[in-house]
Amino acid sequence: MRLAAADMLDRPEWLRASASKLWRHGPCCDRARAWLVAMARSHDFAATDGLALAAPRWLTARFQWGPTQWPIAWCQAVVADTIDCGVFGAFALEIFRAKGVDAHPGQVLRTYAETSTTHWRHKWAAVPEAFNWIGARVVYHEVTIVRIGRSEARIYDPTDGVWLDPGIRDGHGAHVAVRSEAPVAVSWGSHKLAHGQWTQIGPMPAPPRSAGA
Amino acid sequence: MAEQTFFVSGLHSGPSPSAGLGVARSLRAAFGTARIVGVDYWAGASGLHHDVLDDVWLKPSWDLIEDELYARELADELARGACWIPTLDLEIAWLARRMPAHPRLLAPHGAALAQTGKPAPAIAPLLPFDLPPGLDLNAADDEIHAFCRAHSWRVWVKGPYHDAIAVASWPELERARALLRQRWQSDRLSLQAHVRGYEESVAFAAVDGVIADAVLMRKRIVTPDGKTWAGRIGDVPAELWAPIEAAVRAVGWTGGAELELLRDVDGRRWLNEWNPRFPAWIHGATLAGRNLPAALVRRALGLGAAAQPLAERVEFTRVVLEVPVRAELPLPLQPEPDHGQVGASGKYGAALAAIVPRLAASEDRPAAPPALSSELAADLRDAAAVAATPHRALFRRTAEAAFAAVARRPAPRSGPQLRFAYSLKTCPDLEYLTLARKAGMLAECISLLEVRRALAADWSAADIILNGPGKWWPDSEPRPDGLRAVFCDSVEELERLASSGRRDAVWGVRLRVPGLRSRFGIAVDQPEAFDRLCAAVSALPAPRKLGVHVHMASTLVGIGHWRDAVESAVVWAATLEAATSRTVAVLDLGGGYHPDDLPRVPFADITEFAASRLAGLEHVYVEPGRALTQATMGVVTRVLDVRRRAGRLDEVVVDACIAELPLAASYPHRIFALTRGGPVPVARGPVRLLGRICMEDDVLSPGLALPPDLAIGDRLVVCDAGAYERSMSYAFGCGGYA
Repeated sequence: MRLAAADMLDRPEWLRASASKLWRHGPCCDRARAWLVAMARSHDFAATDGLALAAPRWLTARFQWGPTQWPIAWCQAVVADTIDCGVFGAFALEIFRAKGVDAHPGQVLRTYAETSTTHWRHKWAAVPEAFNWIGARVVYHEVTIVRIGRSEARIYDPTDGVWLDPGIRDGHGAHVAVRSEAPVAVSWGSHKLAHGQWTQIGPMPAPPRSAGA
Repeated sequence: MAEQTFFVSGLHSGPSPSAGLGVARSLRAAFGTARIVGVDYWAGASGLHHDVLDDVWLKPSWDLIEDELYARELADELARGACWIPTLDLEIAWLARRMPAHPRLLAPHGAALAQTGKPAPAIAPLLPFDLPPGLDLNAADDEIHAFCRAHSWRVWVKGPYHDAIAVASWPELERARALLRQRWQSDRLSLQAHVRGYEESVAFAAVDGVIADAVLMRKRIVTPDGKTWAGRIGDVPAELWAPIEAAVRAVGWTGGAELELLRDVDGRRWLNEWNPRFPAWIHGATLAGRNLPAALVRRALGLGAAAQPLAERVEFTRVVLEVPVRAELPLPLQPEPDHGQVGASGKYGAALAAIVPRLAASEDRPAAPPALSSELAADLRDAAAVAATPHRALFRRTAEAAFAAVARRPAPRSGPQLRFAYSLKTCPDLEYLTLARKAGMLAECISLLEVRRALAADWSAADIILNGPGKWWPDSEPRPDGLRAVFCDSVEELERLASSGRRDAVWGVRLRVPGLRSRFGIAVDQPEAFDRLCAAVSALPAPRKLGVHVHMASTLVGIGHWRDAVESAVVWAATLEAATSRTVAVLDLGGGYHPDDLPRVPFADITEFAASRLAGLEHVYVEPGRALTQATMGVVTRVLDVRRRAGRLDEVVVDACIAELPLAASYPHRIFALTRGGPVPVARGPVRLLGRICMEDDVLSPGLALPPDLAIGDRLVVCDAGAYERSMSYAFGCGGYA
């Protein structure tokens, strides 16, 4: 399916991007993954709180958000101080799945004013190998789709440590399009998210004239 | 509606604001030419100065107000056609008691308040929400402590109307209880288990049990005190609307109200409180197109309801604004600065303690006394024979029952074997060592001196577990080889052990589980540190079996939290196993269990969980010490001085002190009076029990209901004085050293 407002994106290659994956070197990366899962269990007060869907909020507190030099392997990612949303997403996916939650990669497009994006672009320019996620008024972001029951989903943003609100579809930080890698179509609030396809859920701001694809 | 007058009370607009200003602004938005009179009882209420008000009534503080006169003034205004909308909880309680029902007195009546009051509203079964577990603070102290442990010490002490203080330990609970009792002049306090959830509210306006309008508000930003700073307004979901409507009808509610909710991440909603007035954020709903104060008035005055769709913009936030002070209401002067906090006042001004007895009916009830088992009753009768005091008495029957319960504990039918080890540090008295040996327990030691004592008590080296950060102390002691297990507190210690040539059966590590505050064990919260641990474990000689030790006192963190810590340690053990190819053969669970919890801790479930993750697990060791001995001693003490205030028993000095009871303030102790008729349980009450020594913190109990005729020479027993109360006791004020 083609995103209705794809023509308005200043970086249409985002529509073909799949969710980020971390590389595996070998045993060092296996140990890094296991360390991450054990850390998550230590921060997951399952018996204390009795909650099934508690998210790995500790990721947001432990890792700083910023540019990541891709490709990156598990053993490198866990020792990094700063990680981007792709690494946050990979970490959250691993943790959710380790505790039996039906979780899948997800991607969103978000709207921001240029007053924000210009600063991010400047920060990311220092790391040429980083993913180019910043448009003029729309940015690419990775999240985690969590299935509840057969066809309902919630979306967790491990970078910010929040569950996204399907009712917010316009303005600063609003998610205007979502792509879910859940194997079946799921509903998120009043939206239907088809497998592997971008679904537009809010108005896409027009790129400024000077922005190129 | 130029002629309509509204009286709106509760105008303070500080960090914890009242709703009056929001109600007044909403009324102004709907009834532009109405006369709005703001009412408050404190000259410092900031909303008095807002220009939305046409007039203000600044009444005296409630402790100085004349009840009859004020009731007449209100009745006169109502008779002249005014509407009265109160937003102060205490004033609403007073109105329900003092004022007859009136169609323009837009507040709930007494019966409605009674069914919706804290801590557990009687109307709750009609509502589609769960109630957080709660407990009246008039329960016996040991029941309160059990509640806190059951809820992992994530609990709130709550005031009778509002106010809540989070507490995480017994001393914190005692401080919060004393503070709220002082503030509210009431023992009508309660405990509530914390619910981890998003804060939401349903606000509604109703007249005679019919809802005029209602909205749902989700908090987006809160102040450090948890008060709303910004939120999002929405319709009340259909599945909530019908039951709320039925509950409001059932209680015949009139006025504004707010149902404070918590929505956990699984989507379950919990009712925190039913507040009997509009919330302070109510004008945020008006900005979102839903003017509930106006809907209330319209319904009350029979004006017909105006449809109120949500506006396009449904989010609101607060800002801080300066407004000029009314010339006729100059600000109150500051008192002369004292040391400490200056001039902080809430919505009731500074006189809340004096106000409460005037506004709220006294409903104080006596506290429950501690329970007395038949074994303890017999032990206390024996203790009554003690002549010289203070004297720490061994409760032989209670002790034998505790150790016998360990011996009787059924062994798992299959899988790893569960073994109990007695922690010598908790009480190294020979009586206990003998009981532990008889119960088939191993010995757990934290020094070479304890190892020597265990060997002297007939344990073999193969039955001794050695633990702790200073286990090889002192140097002068021999280091018996061939111990059952040695658990290291650091990687450095493990490396030294690996090269020691010792031949203990199991070598292991104590893990410092991430997320728990502890000074002990090996931290694994950095990948590099975990790698270093893996390297050290991989280098251990093959004949030595590998063990993992975790210790988190369940009496301090609660059962749920303890289980989380243990399961987390099991996951780390499995991770260590996978990374090193070394089989974890032993899981050692430290002590700190409360005597009442030991039979309830799900060791069998934990063992099963551990076995499911650690295929080579052979043994699970559990190290109770405190749980077996804390309740098995009591300090018999004699009254040295009886002090009265205004004729009432106020303070009692006894010949015991914190030297015999160093943990007196750390957890509750059951106290009994020894009388000719036998031991009499002593409940909490107003009398402080003071120790004999000249230390300010020598307070054995902050409050007891001691008999009014208590006299010098009478005797009390402070129970739960075994375990660390015994082993950490010291000599003080006795003219020498022990």
